[in-house]
Amino acid sequence: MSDKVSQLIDVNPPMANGEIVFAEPWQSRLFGIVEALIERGYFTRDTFRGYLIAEIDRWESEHSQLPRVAYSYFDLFQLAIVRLLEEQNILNTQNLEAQVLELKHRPHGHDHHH
Amino acid sequence: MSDQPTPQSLRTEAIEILLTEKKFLKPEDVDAVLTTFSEQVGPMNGAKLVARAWADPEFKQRLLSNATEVVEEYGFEGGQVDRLVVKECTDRVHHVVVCTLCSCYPWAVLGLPPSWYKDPGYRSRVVREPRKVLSEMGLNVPDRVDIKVWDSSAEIRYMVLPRRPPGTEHLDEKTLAEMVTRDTMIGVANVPAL
Repeated sequence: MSDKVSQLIDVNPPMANGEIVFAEPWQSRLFGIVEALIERGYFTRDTFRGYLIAEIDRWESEHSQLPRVAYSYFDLFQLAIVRLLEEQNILNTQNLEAQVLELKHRPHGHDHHH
Repeated sequence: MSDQPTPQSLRTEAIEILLTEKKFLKPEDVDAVLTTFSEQVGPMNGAKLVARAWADPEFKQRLLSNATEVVEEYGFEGGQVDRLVVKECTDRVHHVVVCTLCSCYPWAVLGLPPSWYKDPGYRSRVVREPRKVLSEMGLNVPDRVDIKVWDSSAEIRYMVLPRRPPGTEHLDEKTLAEMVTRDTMIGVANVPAL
């Protein structure tokens, strides 16, 4: 637990009263996916943290002009995990985009994929 | 939720579908992580201990004499609670916790530390001028009350047992626990009276 939390802390997730604040359900789901992949040993927490920091750096260099815009932590969290999964040959971006499109065009009233 | 899922939401769903199809993980794995995270880590754990201690004097004595054992019994995810020491605030003494060296913190009972806990200003000043720092944080400790500052380390983590506010005698443990915030267990706030 210690490593898990202390390393998350370094990249400042949104928090309130000692708990990570998930503003939308997809954020907690994605957080759970990343944790589950780490627990299963596909990559280490340090590796993911490196990708997340890289995304934050990238964002900050692209938004260095005033007025400063705050980034959305979980948007960058998502960019980081997608990049990591692709670079580690776990997930292919083309497949991912195709899957996103399929979900986007599913008929109204679809069964949720849970 | 609106009818239109956000792109981030769709992408998350797509990631999970593909990972599941390729057997990298099962949805149950994700569910299990989230359950652990919401139920076994965080300030609600500490708050439960505080509420129980307020309601049960015998439990309070055990908590003050061997908090590590109590936490193990509760099955809170251990991690940094290798040795937990609980300090009770009374009418005469107020306790506050800091880690002057780094940011040692009892995660299992308090969740994630606040950002200011790592702040060099808090870490150095609360030792030298605790009354002033607490006052700046909105907690005025009367002069007749001593303030003790406990410096956490990798070996010993501290948690504060705040004073039970007056007017709460009729409340059950669950309701009491809901009144206890993280800051009261670090010692930078009091549990407000009803």
